[in-house]
Amino acid sequence: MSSILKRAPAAFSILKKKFQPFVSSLLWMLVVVWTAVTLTFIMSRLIPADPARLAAGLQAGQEQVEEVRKQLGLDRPLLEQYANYLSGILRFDLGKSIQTRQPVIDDIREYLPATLELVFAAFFTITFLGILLGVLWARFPKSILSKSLSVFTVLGVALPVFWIGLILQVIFAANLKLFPLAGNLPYSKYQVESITGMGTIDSILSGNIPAFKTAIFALVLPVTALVISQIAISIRLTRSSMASELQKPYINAARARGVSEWRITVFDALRNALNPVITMLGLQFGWLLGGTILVEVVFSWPGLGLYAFNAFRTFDYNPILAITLVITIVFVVVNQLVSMLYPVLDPRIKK
Amino acid sequence: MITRVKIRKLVQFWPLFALGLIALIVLLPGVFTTKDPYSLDVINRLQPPSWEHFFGTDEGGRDIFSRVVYGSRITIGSAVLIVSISATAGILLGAIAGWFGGRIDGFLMRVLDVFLAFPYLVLAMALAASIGRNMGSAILALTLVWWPSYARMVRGQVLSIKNELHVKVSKTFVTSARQMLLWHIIPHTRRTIIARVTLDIGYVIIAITGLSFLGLGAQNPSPEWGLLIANARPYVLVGWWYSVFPGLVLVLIVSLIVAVGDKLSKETSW
Amino acid sequence: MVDYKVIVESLSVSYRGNHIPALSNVSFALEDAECLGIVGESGSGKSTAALAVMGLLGRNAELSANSIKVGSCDVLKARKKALLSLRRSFVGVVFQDPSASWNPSRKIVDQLLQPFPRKDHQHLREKLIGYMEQVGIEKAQERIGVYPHNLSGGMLQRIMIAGALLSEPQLLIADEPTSALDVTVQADLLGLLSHLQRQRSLSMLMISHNLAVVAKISNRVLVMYAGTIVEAGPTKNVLLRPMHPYTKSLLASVPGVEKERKKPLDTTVSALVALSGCPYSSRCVSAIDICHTRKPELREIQGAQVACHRAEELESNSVISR
Repeated sequence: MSSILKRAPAAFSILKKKFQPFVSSLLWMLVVVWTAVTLTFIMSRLIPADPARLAAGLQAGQEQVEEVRKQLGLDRPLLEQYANYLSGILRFDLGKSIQTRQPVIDDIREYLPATLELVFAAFFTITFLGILLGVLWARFPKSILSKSLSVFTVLGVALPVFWIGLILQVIFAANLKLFPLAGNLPYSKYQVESITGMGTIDSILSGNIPAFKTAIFALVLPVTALVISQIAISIRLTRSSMASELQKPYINAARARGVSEWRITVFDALRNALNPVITMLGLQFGWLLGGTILVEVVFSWPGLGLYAFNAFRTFDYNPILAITLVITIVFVVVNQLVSMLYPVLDPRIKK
Repeated sequence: MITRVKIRKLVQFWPLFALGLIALIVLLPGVFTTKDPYSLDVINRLQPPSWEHFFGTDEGGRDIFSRVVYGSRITIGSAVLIVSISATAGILLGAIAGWFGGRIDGFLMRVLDVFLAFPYLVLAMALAASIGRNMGSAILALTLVWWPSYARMVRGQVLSIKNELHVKVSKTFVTSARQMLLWHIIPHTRRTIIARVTLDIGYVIIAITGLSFLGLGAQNPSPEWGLLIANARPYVLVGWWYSVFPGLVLVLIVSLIVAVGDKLSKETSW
Repeated sequence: MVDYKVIVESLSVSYRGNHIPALSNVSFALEDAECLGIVGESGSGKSTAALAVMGLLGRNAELSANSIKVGSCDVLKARKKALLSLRRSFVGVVFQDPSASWNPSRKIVDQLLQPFPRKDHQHLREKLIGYMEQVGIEKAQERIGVYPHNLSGGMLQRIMIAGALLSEPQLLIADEPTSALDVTVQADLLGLLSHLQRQRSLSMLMISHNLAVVAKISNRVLVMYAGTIVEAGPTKNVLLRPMHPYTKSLLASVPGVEKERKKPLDTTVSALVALSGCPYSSRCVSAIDICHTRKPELREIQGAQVACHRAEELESNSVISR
């Protein structure tokens, strides 16, 4: 018993040491989120138009506008409005959209899955196809594949998402009619039940194969447009990382032991070469969150991006600010989680 | 006489020529076109490409080629502006963080992590909603997202030089952060920074055209490239030239800039 | 009937981007249970020669030879499978830099057992532990499951040797195994290698830039300069009666104790290599006209081979000049 008591303070300080970075990360996360919330509030009060008038409608008379102003609490002192705003956020109340006449939070729930479908599909493609092609390029540098990849990756970075989306749409959808022109899976047409809100997954869950095929086809052009410039980056990065890794002495040592070339490529070189690639993938995911807006606009994909764009065009500010807030929070949280993961992945980083 | 050797030697300097050409287009558009990019001529709307109008005309009868040429000023010019500001700010902040270390460094790094890879489209939209949709808010949004990589680069350099100084020379040699910045960091990292800046100009061009496409940056009747393509969208099936040519020019110019940036980052002898 | 473990005929190697070839028309043979030492400064081509034997040269190496035979296998014509099985069972290699020759993110044991099928892993593991103890590693059981950065250079080299022996090879190639280690560890490691070679009657190729190291454990020595063999013979001959001017200068400069080497100066050799005639002629104190114009061939003199136009006369003069 006394030995436990003796060791308690030491154990406590070890615990404290281990938890300290964790706690400070957590605190920082809260600080950033709070800053984002406050900034969005400030921005919402900076908007040029009179929010009460916007909410009431452009035809409304002055009295009606004042009614609405009282209703929305816009005549209160600023600090009180701020407090209301904060408490609203904690209750997941992000205001109402003028366009859809629904609470923004409901709109977000409705449109989020389609965006997620796009983003996940794009992310998978960039990751797996990008790494695969990069590895193949490094392994077989004189092949036709490699030669064409070296041309593609130089041009690919320069392809703007919106333009290439437009071109793909015109060539493959309008002219060749290989893919749908716009939109995702038309649920009602195929009588698919909306469970997750993602066409591909829902059609699998419903066992509806033709619907699944349509859903996949609907994804092809938007994902291609979204991915093409980013995949050029990840292919190049993977290749250069692999190429330099394959030059290292330990690779030759493994070869000397009689390990087959493909085994060396996958189990030795790739493992070490992936480090910078994974970092880049994290950055690319952040980019994807914004890039979907472009694709959704061009292909009329009913996701958050299109929703935000329409809100923007119709001066419907609540959705815009709400989405900014949501994305910022998600972004910061994911970032922090990932940076806490790094020591786990690399055995050398102990500190 | 122009011999093969001379040609080969000249070809070595292709990055310079490429950048020179781009600068020429931006600074002296009159060299390339005599038409007014803003003058309407509705009778001749949506004409296909011809000798008169290399890229055809748009829905207002304006010559697309000259719009592209003049648009380069806005697109490329604002990209250069954005990169200049964010590079300068990033370098300064990175140097400060690295030099003073401790809490300042810790704080700055945390801030950096927030902005690094933040989806700029979202930020631009929020800014445009609050302070107005114009190039200014677009430039601000992009600058905020682009400075971290420079800060990180410079901070790393400062840290390694700090270590070196500790070992080699006593701290009394370097009296201030400013001195260190001017005489150690910049000469050392000059090349990396210039390469990085070149690449970034290419990437920022893509970003800014995207913003204008959505209506977040340039506004009509500006001939900014992203806006051009957005305007071309309704006519894409009747006037293919309207969306194809500006896009092609965009892709070509950015490819060129990125290729130059790549070359610069690999080259060690300049 | 001599049993040769390695026969190399007219091997030439050049690396893309270098106009000076790494190896020019090199031929040598290794007898059964013999230890052949290859000495030369960096850039002499000694490592290239040894690695070429196993087909371990990198992608930018262009190789041409009349034949390279290891055991009964013709390395030049062998198919991938044959080459792999050769590496797994016939040859063991010990590399130079222990800190770079291991994959930093995999455990030692995993790396060593990688070429073998899963089912053999269990008993190979025990075998490995046994070998590790033989090479002088205590607590082998624990050490086997750690990452490379947890172990010292000397320890890593010993493990590499143990690993090389795992497949019961008949040939061991050691490419500068001690160069990256400090003096005391070096002597130990050399002793170990020497002991193992004799104990198991291993045929061994020992490469080093240090003549003393090579002399300690080799039966025969090849002295290389700028991609060619300049002298070859039994260790005693080469050491006590060197015939080539380069060998003589090497001997003169060896302090007897390995000095710690920083990054080798590749430029020294390639900058001074004469492009015509004897490659050593630009540095040779005894060079005469013919040395600059005609490349000397290896010829047999007093039980050893030398590539020098003036070998005999310098030999007879040396009694006077010493």
